[in-house]
Amino acid sequence: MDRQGYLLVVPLIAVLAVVEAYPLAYSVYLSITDYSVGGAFVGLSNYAQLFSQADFLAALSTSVVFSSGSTVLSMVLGVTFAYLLSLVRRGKGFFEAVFLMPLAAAPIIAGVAFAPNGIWDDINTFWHYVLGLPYFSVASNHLFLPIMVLSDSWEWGPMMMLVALSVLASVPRPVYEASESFGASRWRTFRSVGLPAIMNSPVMHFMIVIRFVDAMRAFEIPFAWAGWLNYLYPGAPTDTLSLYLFKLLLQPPTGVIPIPLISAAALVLLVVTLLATTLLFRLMRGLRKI
Amino acid sequence: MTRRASSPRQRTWALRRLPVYLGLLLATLFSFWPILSMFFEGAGIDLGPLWSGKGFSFVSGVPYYSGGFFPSWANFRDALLWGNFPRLVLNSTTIAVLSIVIALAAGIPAGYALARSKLKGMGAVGFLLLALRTVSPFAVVLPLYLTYIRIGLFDTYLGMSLAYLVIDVPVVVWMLSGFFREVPRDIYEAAETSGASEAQIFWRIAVPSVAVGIAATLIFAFVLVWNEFLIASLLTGAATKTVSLGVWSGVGEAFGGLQSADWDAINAAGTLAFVPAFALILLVRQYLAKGFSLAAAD
Repeated sequence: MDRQGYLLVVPLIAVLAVVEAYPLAYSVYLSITDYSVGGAFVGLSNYAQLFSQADFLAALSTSVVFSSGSTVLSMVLGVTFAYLLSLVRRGKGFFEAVFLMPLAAAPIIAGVAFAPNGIWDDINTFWHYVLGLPYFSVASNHLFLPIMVLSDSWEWGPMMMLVALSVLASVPRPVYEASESFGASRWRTFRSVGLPAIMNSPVMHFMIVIRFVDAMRAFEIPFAWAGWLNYLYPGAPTDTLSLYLFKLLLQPPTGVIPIPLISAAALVLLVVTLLATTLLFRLMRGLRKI
Repeated sequence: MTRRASSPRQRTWALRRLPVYLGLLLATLFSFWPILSMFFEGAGIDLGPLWSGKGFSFVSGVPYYSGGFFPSWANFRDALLWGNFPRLVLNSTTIAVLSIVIALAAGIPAGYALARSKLKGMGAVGFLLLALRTVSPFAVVLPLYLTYIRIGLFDTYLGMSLAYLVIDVPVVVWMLSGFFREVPRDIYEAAETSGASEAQIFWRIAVPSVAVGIAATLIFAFVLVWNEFLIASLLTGAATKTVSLGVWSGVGEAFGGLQSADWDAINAAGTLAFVPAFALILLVRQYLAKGFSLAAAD
């Protein structure tokens, strides 16, 4: 297996050239020309305009907050579920299946189910009538972003759980047995053996990066929330970058779709995510070496 | 040791297990309730009045529940028989299958090469795939849209399948390279010493030994495409509208153009679309983490 190795990658490169390289090059072209007057070269002025827009910067920061939150929370949920499953004696397969449900749900379902009149309606009724506490409004400014993060983590926590379970399964049994024979509790064993194994595994690091990258493109959940809260204009507090661009595309404030701006913004998002990804990878590889 | 000697052993044990059961209950509610509430909505079941205790009363001595508890299969039946749901399923399936066939044709040889070859640049291909995952759909979809309009691919199965390669190709290559990596080296070496050609090793040994992995990858990619919403909302028209978009487009009614029908009917259709996806995820659950674990091992 020598030179043929390259030949085997040719179909992949061909596919990527058509569906990635070509559109990206086209995007670059759109971002440095004026689309409305037939493609006159305008240099970086679209980028300058973009960075002078508070909306864009706000959307970018919402995206970063949303992704960071969702990455951390989905990991916490995934590891917690994996630990819970490790305590179950009977019906482990059943609970695993239940915990996996959100993974099969379309992301838009996560946006719909966690809507103010979705499960929060039930929770609020229970909260108020059974626990006797005052109603709370999830549409309030402090709550909807955490709930968006929670819904996204609901969707992807199970993937983290699967990964955590696979790492736990790969820890040699004698290690557990040794720990338990010294009288360590399940929790203690998990904390000193299972958890470090999960947090130091290359696959968990890989999934963390993927999760962050995917969340940076998050669209469905913010889209649904913009609907619930009636935030229809571009640059609303719910807007992640994807949603902001979607609104620019569907409801351009000036009446003309700002194609060059959208292209420039998409490329900026690409560069930011790529930088963050490289940084994350470096960081975690460094942690593994220690 | 002292614990074992204590007399009400049973009770202590149950007490110690209590946090576990509580945790399981909470985790189950958290995972399942949002789905269940979608089903309830579709079936016309409203538990709110039950919680509040307000829906329940005695009308001249007869218990009467005035809450919205009117379970009915009507919405599910209507979705399957009357609406455009079957058409949406057909569209999604056609697009996903076409897209995944192309992704596999590119991904099987590439995954094999990534797993086996020590050539320069293979690591770069792996990183390239991760980097491409960071591409915003807008950087791809807007140019594709402008191109599709010009060459007549807009709102076609082929156009949509090509656009979805952005989503399924990286996943397919990652998972498959993981599965190929799992095949013991000895097998390849044995084949080489007995004089098998590279092509024979690939077709007769490597591909059959990861057949299950290929199936799992294919199914996971199918679920991803089945659930996708953003690309579908930008690149499909009436002819190729997908399940996820078709069912939930009512969510976007505020954004204009997308008209909401009956909310109960939408939730019923959403439940129907969820069930096959869940069945498929259950089918491949043990291979999902494995595919990614093996791919991430460096």
